[in-house]
Amino acid sequence: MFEHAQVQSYNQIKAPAELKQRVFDACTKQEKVTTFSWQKATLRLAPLAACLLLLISVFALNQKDSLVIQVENTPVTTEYMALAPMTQPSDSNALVRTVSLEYNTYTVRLTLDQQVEAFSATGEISIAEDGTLEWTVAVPYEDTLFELFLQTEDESYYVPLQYLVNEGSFLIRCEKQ
Amino acid sequence: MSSIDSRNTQLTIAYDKYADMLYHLSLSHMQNREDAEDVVQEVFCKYFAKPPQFVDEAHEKAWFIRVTVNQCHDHLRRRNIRSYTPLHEIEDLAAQTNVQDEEALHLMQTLSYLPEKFRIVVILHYLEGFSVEEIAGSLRIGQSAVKMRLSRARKMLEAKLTED
Repeated sequence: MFEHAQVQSYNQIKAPAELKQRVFDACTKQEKVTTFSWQKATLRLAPLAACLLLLISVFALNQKDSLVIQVENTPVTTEYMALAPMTQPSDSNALVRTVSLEYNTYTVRLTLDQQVEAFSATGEISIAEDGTLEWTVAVPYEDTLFELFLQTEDESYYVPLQYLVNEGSFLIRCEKQ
Repeated sequence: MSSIDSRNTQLTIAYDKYADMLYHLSLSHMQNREDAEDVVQEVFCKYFAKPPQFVDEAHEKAWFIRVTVNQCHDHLRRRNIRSYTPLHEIEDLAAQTNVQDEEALHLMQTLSYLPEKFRIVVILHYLEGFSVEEIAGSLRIGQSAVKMRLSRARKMLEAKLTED
């Protein structure tokens, strides 16, 4: 695709000489670390994945009403809703935290007020000790749709999680099947 | 050798091995020298803070590439991805990138016409010498996706060259 001379020229591009000392100074002093930090206790327990924890509160009005998923007290409807952007760890009031280590993943935590009979999803699902579902997806490099299917005793729900690479954000909605 | 000396040595070895490659990748993503340097610094700080246990050199290379690409994405998201100027629109590119070689500058400008996801596979395959399998492992995409992106990138560049 490229001529040998072009490849050679490209490989002549070197990282600036002064960058090496700057890197060493930063590393040894850890002056400039862009790793986003989750709470240390959580970080110790978490895998090497980057986690974005989002609490979604789920309230059912009554046993016969549809499952309601909420984000920061805002109901998730059948229309896509943008989730809070990833924030710096210093923003302690932010709902979401990011940890950027080896690679980025995004974890959605769903608290359900009804027992889920079955579920399936793209990504990984785990059930925490308190019964919440944790849905983890790898942050992709292109627009991607992740899907979660929930089955309660009486009803089925479809929860798509849309990632938009240009915005770097996730959208979520929920609909009863 | 003390633990800190050992880590410093490890960092030196890794830096000497990968800094130039990571700088190339970062420069192509960030489109300017300062941000590219920041990304490289951050990658090595991550490595130094918690050196991963690599199975082999291929694993090590893949880790550095993946972390570099992720850091570039993080920077662009924080900076607002639409606010940068593509290399082919920058007037004084040599000053902006500190690349003096005309051939290299022209190559970088040509690459900047490619969408990011195509540009990175072209750089890794044709300029850094990675195999399709290595690229797939580094970027965590399928080999067929790598081949498709290389194919489409070739067509885009051929079309661009014809246009010129």
